[in-house]
Amino acid sequence: MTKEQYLHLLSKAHIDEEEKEYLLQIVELIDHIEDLPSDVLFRLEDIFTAETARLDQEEKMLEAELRESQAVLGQKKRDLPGKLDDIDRQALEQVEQLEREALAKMDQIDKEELHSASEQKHALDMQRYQEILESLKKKK
Amino acid sequence: MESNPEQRYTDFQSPEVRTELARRAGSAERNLDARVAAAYENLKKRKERESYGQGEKRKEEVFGDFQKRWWTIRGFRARAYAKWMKDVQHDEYEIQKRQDRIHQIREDKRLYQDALKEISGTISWWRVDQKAKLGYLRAKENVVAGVKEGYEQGMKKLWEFGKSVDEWVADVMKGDIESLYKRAIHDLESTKKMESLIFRFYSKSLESISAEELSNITKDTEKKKLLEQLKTTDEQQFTTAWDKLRKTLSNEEYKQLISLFSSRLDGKERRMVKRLQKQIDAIYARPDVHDYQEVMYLRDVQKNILNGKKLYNNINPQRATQVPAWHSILRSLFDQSPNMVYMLCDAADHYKGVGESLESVLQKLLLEDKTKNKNTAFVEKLEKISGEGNVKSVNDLIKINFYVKNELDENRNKILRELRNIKWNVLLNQPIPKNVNVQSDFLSVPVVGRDIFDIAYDVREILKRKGVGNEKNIIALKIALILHKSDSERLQDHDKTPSQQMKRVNTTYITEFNSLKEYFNKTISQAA
Repeated sequence: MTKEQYLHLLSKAHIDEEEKEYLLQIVELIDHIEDLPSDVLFRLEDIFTAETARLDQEEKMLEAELRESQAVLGQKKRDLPGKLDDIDRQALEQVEQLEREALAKMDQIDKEELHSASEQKHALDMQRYQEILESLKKKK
Repeated sequence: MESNPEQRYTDFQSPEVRTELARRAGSAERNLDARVAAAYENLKKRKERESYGQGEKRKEEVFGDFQKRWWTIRGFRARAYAKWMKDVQHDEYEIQKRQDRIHQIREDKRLYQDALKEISGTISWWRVDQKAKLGYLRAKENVVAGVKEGYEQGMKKLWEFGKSVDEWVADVMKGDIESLYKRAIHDLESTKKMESLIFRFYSKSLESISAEELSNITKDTEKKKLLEQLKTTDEQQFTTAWDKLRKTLSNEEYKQLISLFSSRLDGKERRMVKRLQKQIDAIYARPDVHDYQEVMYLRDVQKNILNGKKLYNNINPQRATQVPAWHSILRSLFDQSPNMVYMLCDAADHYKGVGESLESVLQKLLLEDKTKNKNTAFVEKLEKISGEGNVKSVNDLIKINFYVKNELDENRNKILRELRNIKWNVLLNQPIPKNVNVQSDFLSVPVVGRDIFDIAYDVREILKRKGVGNEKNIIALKIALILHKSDSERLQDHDKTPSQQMKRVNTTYITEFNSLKEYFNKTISQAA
């Protein structure tokens, strides 16, 4: 193991900050780990054993969470095609509905415009009759 | 509408979701687009049919409204897709995060295990054996401190480990020191490393300390010179220069120097130095380290005795009285190892009757040196070694007191004569003072391989400290006899439990006086 790996492990350890600072410094300063005094080596052994146990526990917890999340995701993935089908079907229906509505509106417009045009023609005809009638009266 | 809907779903992590979405999005969108295109076509045709009045314009508005509403539907569909996709994507992200952490945990666990394996490789060899021995040593310390139960417990621990104290001592003296004291050896080595780390800090401090500040530590010119030299010493030579200086400075001067060094360090560095020093002190205070140093000293002494005897045999008796020859031999020996001279004296004592003893030669030599002031350095060396500076252990002190102080002023001979003249009945009737405990007060006195009188000198020193008055020489001899006897008996009945051994020692030394008397008389006649 390299000194950097020991420093990495120590920096992650859950110990008092002051002690951590000392241990990091002493490991940083010495050339080889086996040069450390036995008390420090014993302490490192305690710390690393405790960290291993803590990581074991965290790993177990994460594995349980992972299994649960994967189950939920699996279900979501199974549900996904159906949900997307629904969305597409709804969109298609809405387009058809829109088309029907637009065509109906256009029919209505034609009807209305036709009716309006015949009324206008009738009014013009009436006006024309009136004008002809007026000119005949004058000639007399 | 995007020309390539598949592109929008490539962010998904799981390929099956990505493929499914892309496939679905592609085909569904194409269907929908086709349907919308058809609707456009229908509406366009319808719009372009013959119109009246405002018809054309109004139909155009309806067509525009259709387009607008289609875009709304399209947007709604896209958001619904996105919502579902995001949901899955988030879950996948969370899963990935957990998987990454598990991976990291496994990697860290592997590293921790590797580190533990490596550490264990270094420390495991002192675990089993050392535990039992440390138990005993701690117990021994407890006994010295007055906690009597400690000794019993310590002995028991040792017993469980399958070794009696004597066997252990015998092992130590046999030379199996390295395996017995691996931890102490390791830690003494590591103190050197830690000291060099401290020196690295001090060496750095020195850069900002002026020569004047350094020389202010002391008024002594020689010491000033050494202090100045320290400033010009490189890092590699610092330890040697420091050691030389340390031996010269008084405690007060040393404290001042340390304080000067510390004043130039920042808080973090000061803390580090303090903790390193604490660690070093803790190592030196450990009983196994202390014992290892003692044992090494004794081993050295043994070696010197053998060498001394060899030398003595080669030189005596032809040259024993030739003072000038001895003068140079002793002086050169003393330069090499002061212990060698002491041991020569010791050897001489054992070889009495073959001429003048080395002890008396040395004595003469020193007297000559002192009176004629021929070689004061030699005398100073002897005097210095008896001072505080070079005392490394109790044994050092005993030996130094023994040889330098007691022997050279003839006091030893006086005591020896006095002890040898003590009559058996006087010894027998001498009561042991109430404040003296034979079982626990003399644990620091080495017994194995020593003669009763030697043991008695050490006992006498302890009795002096305990305030035993006029009769201390007789009591010392009586106790030395008991220690010597009980030690040989312990060797004999090593198959008994420690408590049985101690009980036997306590009860038998009074009831077995007859055999003791015989043993004592035999020893006296041999030594006389």
